Amino acid sequence: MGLGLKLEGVSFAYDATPVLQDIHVHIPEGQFVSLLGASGSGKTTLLRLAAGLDPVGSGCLTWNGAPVVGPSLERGVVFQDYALFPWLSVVDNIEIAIAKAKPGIRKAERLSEARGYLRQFGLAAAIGKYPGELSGGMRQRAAIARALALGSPLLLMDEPFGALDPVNRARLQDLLLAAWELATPRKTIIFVTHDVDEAIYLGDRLIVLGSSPGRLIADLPVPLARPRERCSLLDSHSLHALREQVAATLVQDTLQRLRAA
Amino acid sequence: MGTSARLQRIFLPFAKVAGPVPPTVYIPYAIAILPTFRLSAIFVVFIGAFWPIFQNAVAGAHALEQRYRDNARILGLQGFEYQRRVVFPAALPHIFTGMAVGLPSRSSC
Repeated sequence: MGLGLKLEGVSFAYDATPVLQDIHVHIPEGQFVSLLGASGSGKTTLLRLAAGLDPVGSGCLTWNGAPVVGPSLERGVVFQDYALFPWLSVVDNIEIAIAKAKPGIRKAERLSEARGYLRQFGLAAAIGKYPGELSGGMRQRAAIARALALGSPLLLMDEPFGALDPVNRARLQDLLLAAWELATPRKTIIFVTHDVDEAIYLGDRLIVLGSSPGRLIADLPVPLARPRERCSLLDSHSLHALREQVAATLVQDTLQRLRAA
Repeated sequence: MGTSARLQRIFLPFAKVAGPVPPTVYIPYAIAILPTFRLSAIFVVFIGAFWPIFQNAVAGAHALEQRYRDNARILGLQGFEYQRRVVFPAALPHIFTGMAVGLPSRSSC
């Protein structure tokens, strides 16, 4: 019985349209996995299945040996569209997660802890504000803080930086890496992205999905040591070689699909 | 009711039938059944204001975006807590719209 997230022959279809087909992956605990693929390759669906938001069509999906049958505090999710509750202040959004993760503690303590998370993510000035009053980057930082506050050992992140400008994106990548590297034990993270450089910079491993239907077309280790320095990586031969390999895999899949059509 | 398909199936037909009935229709029944005129008046005003507010509240709960539902599930919010912390605040704008429609028209009833 392998620990971590295990997908054995997982398939999924929306109505009669197959979205994922026969996915076999084992993600050990504490690994940072970047999930890549073209639009419509089923990345988000895979994440939703892992979160327990949708039931697996066929095959077996387990987290630490137990089948995933519904959402659980064991598996936190950061959505692409910063789904903080807009009617709660930022601190209350975090407090609601802490209340679930630590049901025994008093509200004052929960709020104090929530403020701590917000300070860690550079949001001290935004504590009393509502999500609608924040920029996209600040909202996403609050969403990540909430996911961390939930204390889930598995974190599923669906293109969390997709809508951000390059500066905020780089800043949040560094913030996420720092939070992940400092945590003991390290969380298992599945990070969905379209950006190959981001996937390589963050991940220990790249999983690439092909389209129509979504299936595993590459599973590549990232041969870069940690901690990673963004500037030194720019000249890294390994990064360039891996980027070329991923790009070639995705292009090949697209060409195959076009030929089949 | 806005979050439960089963409750909707059971109660929505009644709401659809009872909602459009003008409150003045209830006046003779209210006077006949209820012990005082004051209580009858309160009942007629209440029933007239109730349906717009109720229907808007149901519509508001029903319109709750999927991402917030997913979020609530991820956070483990269920039952009354889910209704109190997610559904009710999300439906409030609709409830106020219902009040804006229902209350002024009933005050002149």
